[in-house]
Amino acid sequence: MMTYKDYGYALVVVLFLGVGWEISAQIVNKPFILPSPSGIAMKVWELRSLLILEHLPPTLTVILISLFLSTIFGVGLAIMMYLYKTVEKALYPLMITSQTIPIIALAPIFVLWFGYSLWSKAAVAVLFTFFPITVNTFDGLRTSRKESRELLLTMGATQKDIFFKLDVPSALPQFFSGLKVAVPLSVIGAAIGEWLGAQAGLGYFSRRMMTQFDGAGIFAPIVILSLVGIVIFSIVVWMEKRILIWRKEI
Amino acid sequence: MRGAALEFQKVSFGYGEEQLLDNLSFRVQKGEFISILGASGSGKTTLFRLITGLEEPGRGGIAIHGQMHANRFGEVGYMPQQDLLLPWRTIRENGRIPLEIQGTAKKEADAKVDSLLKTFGLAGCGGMYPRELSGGMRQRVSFLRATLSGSNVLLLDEPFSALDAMTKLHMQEWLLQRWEEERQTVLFITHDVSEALFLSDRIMVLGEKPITQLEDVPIPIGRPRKRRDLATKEMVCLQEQLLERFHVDAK
Ligand SMILES: Nc1ncnc2c1ncn2[C@@H]1O[C@H](COP(=O)(O)OP(=O)(O)OP(=O)(O)O)[C@@H](O)[C@H]1O
Ligand SMILES: [Mg+2]
Repeated sequence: MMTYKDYGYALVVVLFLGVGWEISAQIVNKPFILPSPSGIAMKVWELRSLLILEHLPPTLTVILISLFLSTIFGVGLAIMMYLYKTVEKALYPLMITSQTIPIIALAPIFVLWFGYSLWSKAAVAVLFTFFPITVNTFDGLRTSRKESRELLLTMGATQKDIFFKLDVPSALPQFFSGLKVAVPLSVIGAAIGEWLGAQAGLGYFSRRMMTQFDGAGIFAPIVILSLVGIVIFSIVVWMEKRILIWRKEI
Repeated sequence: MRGAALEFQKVSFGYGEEQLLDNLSFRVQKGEFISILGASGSGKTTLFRLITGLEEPGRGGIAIHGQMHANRFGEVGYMPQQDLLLPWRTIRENGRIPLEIQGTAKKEADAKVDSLLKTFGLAGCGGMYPRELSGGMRQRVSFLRATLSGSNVLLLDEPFSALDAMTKLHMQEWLLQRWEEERQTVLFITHDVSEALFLSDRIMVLGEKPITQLEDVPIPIGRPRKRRDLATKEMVCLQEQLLERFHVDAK
């Protein structure tokens, strides 16, 4: 279990880096190239209502939709591959291949298909997030033990019994691992999607600031993006702890 | 008259080319406590896999309570060597799995398990998770689960082999007491000759492959038993004979 003491170490490192950054930024003194942490913090505060009321909602929507869709697709795909060997053979290699394609290169195609709508961004984010969810869930399903399966069979269990009483609970820890990997990826995916074309959103705003050489302005939305990632991640960890209560150390 | 709880009728079986059982017949009466002894790899677990229905005989038939079932799943209670408790289920939830599979309502199933916990020395453990229990307690949960599945035939595959010596002795006495109350038919696989002598009405010994018959060794002491009953001259002799056999087999 992480306690405040464990976070303490991380905090020291962050402080250390932050101070180092602040000092070097002051020395370089070119805020459009290297904005200082204090400058970024001020910028966040300055732009707070614009960032949070105008640009956060579309990005958050993309993130949540992509996580939702990739959970549905990913888990569905994992189950199909687990239950049907043919599906596994047909789709597993394709899935791996899909990850070797530079997703950024594909993104313009999504814009062609979905226009500058929310869906083109969600599609980019889903392409990032479905993979860890699918692979982890699939591997999780395969961790269910043969001996336990046989024991259930001797009790007269049906395939459905075995799936719900053994396979699904066996896969849950791995599913959560996949979801935890997917959360930051969904944030990255949403931001990249917005770079390609959008009228609003944190990624879009960051890019717009780039054209204006506003260093702190580039970072300010990124700070919000990373906070969003941390919050969603924490929610997933909280759900994981609630659901996998049996794993809790005594 | 007591009927047969279990009967092998000219059963032949092998995993591949090699025949493991060849035309094997034997019967077990209702309420008998039988121990099965045999060298490692002699086919003890295979007998259980056949009885439970995890394997099908190549030829011959297996009758449980006089009936040949096309599908034997759910007909007997099977307690595997490892406890195989599901770690995400509490003790109560683990115990009720066979009832869930049989379609009993959850409430009723829980009530049934709860009513048994005390008898199984698990009072107050219903809401605990398996990792919170000792090895002996986990075996008792596994045993409880086995008694709830299927009819009154229990197959126990080396249930105590993973326990330390003291716990093992304690569990043997506990099992004997349970059996004397319930008189279920028990088939008990073990490597431990003295365990077999202490517990069973008779011992069935598996010999050379392919197995064409099981050697029957009746145990000449009555019940209820005390551990000192094993110290009589007759029993010591029997024990030595059996040990000798396995010593020879092992070579
Ligand atoms: N699933 C299987 N496929 C092929 N061969 C098997 C299988 N299970 C067991 N065997 C073989 O069948 C023989 C009997 O195995 P079995 O598990 O019944 O022995 P056992 O008497 O239970 O041994 P142990 O005391 O070590 O548990 C062994 O030679 C084993 O290698
Ligand atoms: Mg065995």
